[in-house]
Amino acid sequence: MEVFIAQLISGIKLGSLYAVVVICYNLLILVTGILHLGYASLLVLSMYAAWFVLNATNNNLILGISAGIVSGIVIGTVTAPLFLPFIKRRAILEALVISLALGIISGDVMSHWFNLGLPIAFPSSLQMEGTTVASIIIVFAFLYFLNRTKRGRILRAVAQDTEVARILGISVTKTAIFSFALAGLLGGLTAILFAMSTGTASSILGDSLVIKALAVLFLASIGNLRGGLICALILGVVESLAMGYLPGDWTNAIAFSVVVVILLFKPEGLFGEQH
Amino acid sequence: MTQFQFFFLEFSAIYILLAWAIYLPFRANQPYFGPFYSMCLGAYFATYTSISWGWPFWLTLIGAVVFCVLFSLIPAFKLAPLGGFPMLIATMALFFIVQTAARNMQVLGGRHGLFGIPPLPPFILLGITYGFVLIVGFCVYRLDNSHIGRALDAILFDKHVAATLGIDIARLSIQLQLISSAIGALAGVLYANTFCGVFHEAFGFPLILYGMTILIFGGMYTMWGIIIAAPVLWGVTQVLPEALKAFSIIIYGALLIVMLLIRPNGIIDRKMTKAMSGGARALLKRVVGS
Repeated sequence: MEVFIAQLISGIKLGSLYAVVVICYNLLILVTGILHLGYASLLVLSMYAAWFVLNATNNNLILGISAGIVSGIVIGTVTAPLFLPFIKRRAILEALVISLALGIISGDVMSHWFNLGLPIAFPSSLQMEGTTVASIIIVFAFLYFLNRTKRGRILRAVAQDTEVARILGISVTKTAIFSFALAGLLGGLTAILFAMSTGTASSILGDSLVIKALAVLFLASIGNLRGGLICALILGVVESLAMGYLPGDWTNAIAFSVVVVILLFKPEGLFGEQH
Repeated sequence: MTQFQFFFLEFSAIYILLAWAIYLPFRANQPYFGPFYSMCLGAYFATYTSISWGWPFWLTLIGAVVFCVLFSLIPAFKLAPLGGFPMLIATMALFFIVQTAARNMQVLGGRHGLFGIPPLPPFILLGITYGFVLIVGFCVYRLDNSHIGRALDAILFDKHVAATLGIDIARLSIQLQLISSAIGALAGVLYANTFCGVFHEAFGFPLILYGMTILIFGGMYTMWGIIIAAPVLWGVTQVLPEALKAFSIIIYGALLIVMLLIRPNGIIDRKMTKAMSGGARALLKRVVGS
């Protein structure tokens, strides 16, 4: 029973982190129409940036955390122009292939240029409790931003109807770049929370994260923020229990099986469409 | 023949088959990643049946193709009406489920892989592989230039108009998925026989990247670019200096991005193939006329 409760708590912690990642995916899909398969790898690249600065500054936490967040924003903004021609043409497949290539490139950079390709470990001073609370605060701050601010309303307008938003004078290109930067900021914050929570990272963490984000996205239905939050928590708990009770590394296979079953038998997701 | 020459010829042919398998559904705007998991399944099927049950090469090949087509049947029926994101993600998910299963099942060798297929003489294996390249190439060419090819063009440009004109998109999609899976399985069996075995690391994101780079670099809308792209891309990374070889994935990724940005139709597009075939016809007329 103690093991079960421990796995449950660990699952909620993990699920709250997935929730932030899923929000970023939803943001990019709704505003730009892109399913960014490389986003999770770029998020892990921010973890590596934070680790690099921590090492270089003798574990200066403020600089390390800032490096993680700033690198997230920079990566998000710098990669945005690669997608813009495809966003304009609504060439979803090409954009998806580009995102896949970006993810694989960043994974390879991490496996060759950092720590001789070995997994990295963050200093114990960075590992703190309270990541669940921090994730919840981030999610609520994002929802507040989306619903209560002018910029948030612009994002929602573009997400709902690009053409009408354009007629109303909204620059869709600028909004797309902004959404990449915002997703980068959220990614940087999540990277730091992951570092605090797990204490380690490796170049293949992005692959596993993207699998789980996709599982949640399709389980909840793409674009459904509330459904995404609930499903992220469920996935975190299921994964944690699987880790506790199943041999080998079957967790990715379980997450992907969920994706396949949902796509084949209930393609609209469990929660239906709701932006 | 040196080992390098053998591997160059063999892998070029295997990747041409794989890329054609991806090309067929993509031609009708169906982002189907089934060939990747079929290649993985086909390779494991051939290796396991050859080692454990002592099946000869041709039986493993037929068995793998039938097995992969059957495996793809249910997803094909369900995915055909969906297309787009759901098709891409579901087939990619199946690919990673197959890979995870291979990595974790001891009966398939687990993390160490499964080796011990009786080796075929290099010239025979090359002959078989290129024989299949010719057969599959001929079939793809015939399909491209038949009424089915024109139906695929119609779906690519506007699927609603295609449906209005009476094209059964779902049925065509199922057929394409199954053919594509069969070619993927064929590539997998040949791959396993080249290595005399199989290991799970051969089937991951890099394989997807490599397959997609060949397709996009060669040209997504014709079958000919793939024939150039597969040997060039495989060969380039082999002749790179040792220090740069480790970055081959970055090179492929960068190439893929650059191609999509500056020449999204690839090095050989439809206009070029039309011009070339027109030129060839004119030359033939002149030769025959004189």
